[in-house]
Amino acid sequence: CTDNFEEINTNPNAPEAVSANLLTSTVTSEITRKLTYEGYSDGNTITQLMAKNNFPGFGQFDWGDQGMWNFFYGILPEISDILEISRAEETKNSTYEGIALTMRALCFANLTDLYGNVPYSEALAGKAEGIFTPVYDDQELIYNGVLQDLADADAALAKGMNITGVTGDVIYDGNPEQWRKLANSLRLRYLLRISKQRDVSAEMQAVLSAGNFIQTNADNAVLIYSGTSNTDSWPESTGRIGGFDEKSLCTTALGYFSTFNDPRLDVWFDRNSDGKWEGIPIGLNQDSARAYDDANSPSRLDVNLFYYSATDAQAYIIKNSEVQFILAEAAERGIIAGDAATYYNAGIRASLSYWGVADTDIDTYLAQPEVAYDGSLELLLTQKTIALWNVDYQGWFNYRRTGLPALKPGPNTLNGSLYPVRFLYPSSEQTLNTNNYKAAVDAMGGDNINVKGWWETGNRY
Amino acid sequence: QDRVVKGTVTDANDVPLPGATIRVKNTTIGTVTDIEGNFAITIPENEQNIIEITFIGFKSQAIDVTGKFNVNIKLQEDTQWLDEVVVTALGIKRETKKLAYAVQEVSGEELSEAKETNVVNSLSGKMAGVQVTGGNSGVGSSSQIIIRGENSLNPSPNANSPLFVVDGIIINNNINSVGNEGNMAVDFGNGAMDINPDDVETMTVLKGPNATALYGSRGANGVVLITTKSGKGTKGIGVSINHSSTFETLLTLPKYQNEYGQGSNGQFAFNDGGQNRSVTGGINDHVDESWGPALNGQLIPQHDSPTTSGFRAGDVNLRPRNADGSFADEIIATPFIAHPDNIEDFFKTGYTISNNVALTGANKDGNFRVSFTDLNSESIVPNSNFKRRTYALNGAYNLTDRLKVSASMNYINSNSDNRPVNSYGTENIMYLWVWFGRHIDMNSLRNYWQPGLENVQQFNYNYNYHDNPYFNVYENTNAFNRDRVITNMRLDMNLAQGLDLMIRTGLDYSNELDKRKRAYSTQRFPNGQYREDYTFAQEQNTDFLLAYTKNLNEDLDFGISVGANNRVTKNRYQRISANSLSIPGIYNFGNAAQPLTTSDYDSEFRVNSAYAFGNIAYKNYLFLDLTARNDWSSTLPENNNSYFYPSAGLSAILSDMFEMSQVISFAKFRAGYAVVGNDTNPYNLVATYGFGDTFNGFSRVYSPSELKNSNLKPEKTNSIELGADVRFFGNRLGIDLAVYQSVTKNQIIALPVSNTSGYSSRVINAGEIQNRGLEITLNATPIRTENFQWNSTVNFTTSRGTVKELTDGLDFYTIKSNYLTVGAKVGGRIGDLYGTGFQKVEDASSPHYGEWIIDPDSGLPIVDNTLRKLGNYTPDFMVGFQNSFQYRNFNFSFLFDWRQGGEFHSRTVAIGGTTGMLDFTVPGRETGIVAAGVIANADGSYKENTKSVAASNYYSHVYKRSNEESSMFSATYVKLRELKLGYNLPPKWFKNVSFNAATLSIVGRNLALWTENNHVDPETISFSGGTVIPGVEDMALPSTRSFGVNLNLEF
Repeated sequence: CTDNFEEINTNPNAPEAVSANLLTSTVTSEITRKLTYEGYSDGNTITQLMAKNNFPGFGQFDWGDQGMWNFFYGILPEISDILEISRAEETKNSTYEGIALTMRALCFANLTDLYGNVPYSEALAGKAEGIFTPVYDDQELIYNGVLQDLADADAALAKGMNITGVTGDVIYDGNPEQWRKLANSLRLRYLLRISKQRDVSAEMQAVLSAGNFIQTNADNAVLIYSGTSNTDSWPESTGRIGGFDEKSLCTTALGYFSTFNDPRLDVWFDRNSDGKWEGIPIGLNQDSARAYDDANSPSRLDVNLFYYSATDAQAYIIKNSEVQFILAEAAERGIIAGDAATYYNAGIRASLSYWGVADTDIDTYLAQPEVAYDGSLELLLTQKTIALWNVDYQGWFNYRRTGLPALKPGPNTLNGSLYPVRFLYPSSEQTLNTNNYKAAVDAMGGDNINVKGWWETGNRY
Repeated sequence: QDRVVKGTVTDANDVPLPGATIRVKNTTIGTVTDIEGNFAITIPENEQNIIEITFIGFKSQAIDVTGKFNVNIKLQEDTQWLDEVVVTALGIKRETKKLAYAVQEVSGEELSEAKETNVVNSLSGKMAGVQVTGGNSGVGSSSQIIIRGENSLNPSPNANSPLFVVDGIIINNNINSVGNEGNMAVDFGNGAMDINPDDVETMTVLKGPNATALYGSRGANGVVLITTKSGKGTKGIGVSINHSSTFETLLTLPKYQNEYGQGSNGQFAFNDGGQNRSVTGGINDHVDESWGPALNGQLIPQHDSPTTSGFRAGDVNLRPRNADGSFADEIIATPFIAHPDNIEDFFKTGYTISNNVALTGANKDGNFRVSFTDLNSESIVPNSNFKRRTYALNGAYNLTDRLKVSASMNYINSNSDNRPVNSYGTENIMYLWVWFGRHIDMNSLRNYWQPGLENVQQFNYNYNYHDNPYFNVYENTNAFNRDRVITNMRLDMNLAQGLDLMIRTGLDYSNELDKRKRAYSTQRFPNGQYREDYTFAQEQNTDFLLAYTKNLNEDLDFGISVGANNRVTKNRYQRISANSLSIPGIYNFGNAAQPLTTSDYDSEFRVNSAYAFGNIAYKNYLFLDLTARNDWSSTLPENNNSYFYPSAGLSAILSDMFEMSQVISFAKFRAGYAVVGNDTNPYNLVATYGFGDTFNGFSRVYSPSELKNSNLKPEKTNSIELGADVRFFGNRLGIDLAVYQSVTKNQIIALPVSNTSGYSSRVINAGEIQNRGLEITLNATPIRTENFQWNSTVNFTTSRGTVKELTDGLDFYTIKSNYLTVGAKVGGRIGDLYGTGFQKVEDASSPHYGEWIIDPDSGLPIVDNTLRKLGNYTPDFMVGFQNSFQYRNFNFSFLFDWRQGGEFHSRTVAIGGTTGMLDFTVPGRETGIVAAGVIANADGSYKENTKSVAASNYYSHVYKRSNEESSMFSATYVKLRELKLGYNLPPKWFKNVSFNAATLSIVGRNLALWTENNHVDPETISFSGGTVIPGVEDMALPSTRSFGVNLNLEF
């Protein structure tokens, strides 16, 4: 009478195996949405483009793990599964393989940039190898892996295999050439990131020469929300207006915008009730932020673009403007051949154009003496920081590497005179992976927000 | 012709009994004995010649006086304790004295007089070893019952629930609380709540595996056996009518301050309530905290102030505007004053009205009972209610001398138009109250639409975070309807002398549909929402039992039984949600403005069981019980799906075995050992992918986050129990003692693992939990005279669960968390609560030991995010103290429930502290506050902090969400749980009706509470992620006291 037990205990609700496209839709949508929404709230705060008038703890550097660890390690299993499926004999597909490798590199680069040493070589090996307490690897080893994954992705995507049927890809709809451009753009981003430690000239130059990277806004790795449901809508548009209302223009950014006479100010922000542009400093405590808010009524974000519309604001991984600024800095530092000013102008043009500024206005903008490139890295990185609006934490990573633009903690900072450089490990790691957590903390010199990683401590510049 | 019968009533020793009642059978004619025990009674001509003699503490007698004129009657003392028969496992009736384990019973009368809508609550305080915690959404909420502590590490709200068995049929007691899809959790009640107290004859609690071994896997947490009323014993036709009305009022309410209104930095002026700050923002009118101006009557524009355009200021969608969007009218400022009772005024008096009528009948061939009950309850929360109708039918018929058939059918319909929402967020009105303004006149919010925008735009005092509370309860409803059928059919056959066969099949079927409606302009659903959740549960059990009993000789009896059970359980859950609606106010999926989101889950499993048990009785004073059971569960891997467990119990009536002092009237000792196994949930062996919502038209799946395990083994619990039952002074004083230890091993748990492994949890066998406890029940009859009797019962419970082992390399396991973490640490106790707190001076030799360490820059204590143990939610001990008094036709009783020890976290206090709503946030508002603590000097010494900070800064920091320590409170409380005054109406009042009984009672429940904090009730559970979190009060509805009347008529 137990004969049919196995059949009874077979789950009728969910499959034991799936195809790559179903996982690709999850991976491409979740990662792109999350990175942009993080950039919108916290990434913009730490680069002082935006500051909060309520619950301002993040700007005071009252930090924990900030949830990014759980996000990336939570989505990496899907990426591993796509990789496994795309490499299995019967479902082999080099395009899915390239997509998975690109996304894996993106996730691990972000993880190590945000946390320092993280599990890499033994990560995601629970099922295959029974490893539930993976060791933490140092940043250099992880970066080697990230760059290898991107090189492998480039090779896989170069095969140009088409995906038939539903692709599941919300960014490029499975187009291997486009994905190849994304992979190589990320290579440029990460090569520049480690350029303080390592001579990356040859590799960067090789990518540049091959030319398979994002060079127009049409190639941007962008997700356009369809707005058919809360899931595929711009996330802020589905929240309470009070949550939107907590975000204001930061005084630091107002400084940039005023200096540059920047049209993006009017795109991203609304004037206050007095019809003026007002900023609020970051790093005020709740009381001071409230008091400042009472007294000055800082400008908040553009309510039509970032709250009332479910589709106007887009999500993205990397855009042409960032790539141009990477090349500008690399040229300026002599890592690659070429004219920094040309790349700089192209970066600004790409950014303004993306935000809907007319070409003639861009010409006017670029002609201003405050904007015209003069070989100043500070100017270059300030423009890059503005262009990185909503792009996860890339602006902060640039600041950590270059110290530019020179960001200062706010009045009620909880971190002394230091500008923090990493998030804390999640407390779950202390209990679930205790020994490796401790070893990592020892290796890094502590689990606090001021411990620098490998790439920012190089001395090549 | 009428005639007079005289007589005397004495006890067994010929001592006269004054005050005994004599009554002519089936009439209202009666009398009582005088001081010498004499009586005289007139028997009418055409009445039977039978008189009935009753006296408290003695067994009633009926005597045929045909042809007699003078009778001497000796009443026997009522020794029912000794001959008491209780229902035990599998519904077998046994004499209490023979049992080798603790069993306690509550009678139906007790349940139906001081009626609890949720029958589980009636057990509160009445029994040693039983802990009942009522839910926090008023009448109709779930109650959690834990018998002898928690044994399981499983976070499910049902993992530690006892098994509920109704007339031999296992019923589902699952707590059904569902959240997500943007909605917060609503508690739709626990399964056993559907049982109607009016139909309950007895509720018997079997504690621990020794008593429940025959229920196998499912009895490990104890069993509550419910026997429903039947027609048995009725002479002819019986009718009973019961009516009860109870009223509910607030027992607790947080203490709010009344000095300062909404705003910040002492500033506030309403313009648009935060709807569009860039254009029409007022002064801090988007701020939802209470650090605003003093409530001293100064003139300030408010949401209910008039405007020059004739609208209310809060009618922000209607007021005339200029071209730039600013308002074209002016608000006419009104006095800014406190409304101290605004929140209390929101609540109303709740009531519960229950009517029951039952008909019974019996003759030599059989019996029947039909019963109908209608219960209607209105909550203290406006527009929230609970309704239940129960149709019960049971009957038995003797087909032949040896063949009896019986059947019962219960149909229960429970429903509500709206159930309150639990936990932290805008859908819960209790959330609003910790963010509310003290200046708000509650009446100003009653007209909750902006005129002309009905169904489209609410009117509120705030538009950026909150919903109008009346809008919330009248428009955003959480309705449910549950149809449930519990039925069984049974055949009893006497095959031969001493050989009986029972065959039975029973079904518990329930179908529930929950409907959530959210109107346009709701904060969480600006374009409305409509959602349906459908839950289907069915459990069918079919069993047989073949029993043989024999008297071997004068000294030796034995019985042996064999049986088998087949269980089939099926569940289905389906959720459909339209998260945006095209047309306001129409709640239909056709009106969805977005693709519907759905989720559904089917499950099925089977368990086959075979069991045998035997008992041997020697000289009726020594009893040995043995049981054995084997289960085969479909949920376990093929090679591990069969598991066996035995039990043995011995009881000895020492008072019958040995000569004992006259003082001791009865002495029994008992000992038992039992093993029970347990299976797991279906589909726990192989991991599967999960479906996500579509995105831009693409279907999505998620990789499994839990690694399943195809090598699972069944769980095992070993238990030993020792007990004694000793009674003194002719049973006037009795003590029942039980000590036990149970050890649960190989628990099947979803062990959290580092998510860097690719999984967030994996299913394993792990853990060892030891539970030890002591239960004492003391019964006494301090006074017993002819007219007066006082009975007193004290029960005492202490139990302690200890985590002996988790698994290799793991010393901490998060069982569940809701702000606080309920964690198991090796060597720690079950119920330990972990959370964060401030850094403190840890050097015990420092004069500042234990003081806060203050950050010199901010002047505020430094938060330490490392998890630390903040308390334990289990009590050190619990005491129930029940007294009943009987005087002639009056009876009076009260029950105190005392729970000592344990801690809980109050989110109401934590948030109400940060927002400046609660009374303790007033001091220092004008002067600033210097935090009591020390500043660390460079040399490791400390100096006193002297920096003054703004009160708002201080309180919002000290009570901040990441500092759970500040809102921990002692969970010790004493409650006056039950008070009852009953009066048996004298039969002479009803000359023309022949009542068998007529009782009027005045009852009260939860009338008083004594506890440390004055904001919330420490008896609390919160709901989060579909599970119950003990030890956390999370925006709970206030507790209520109830009082009312109960009328019971039998004729």
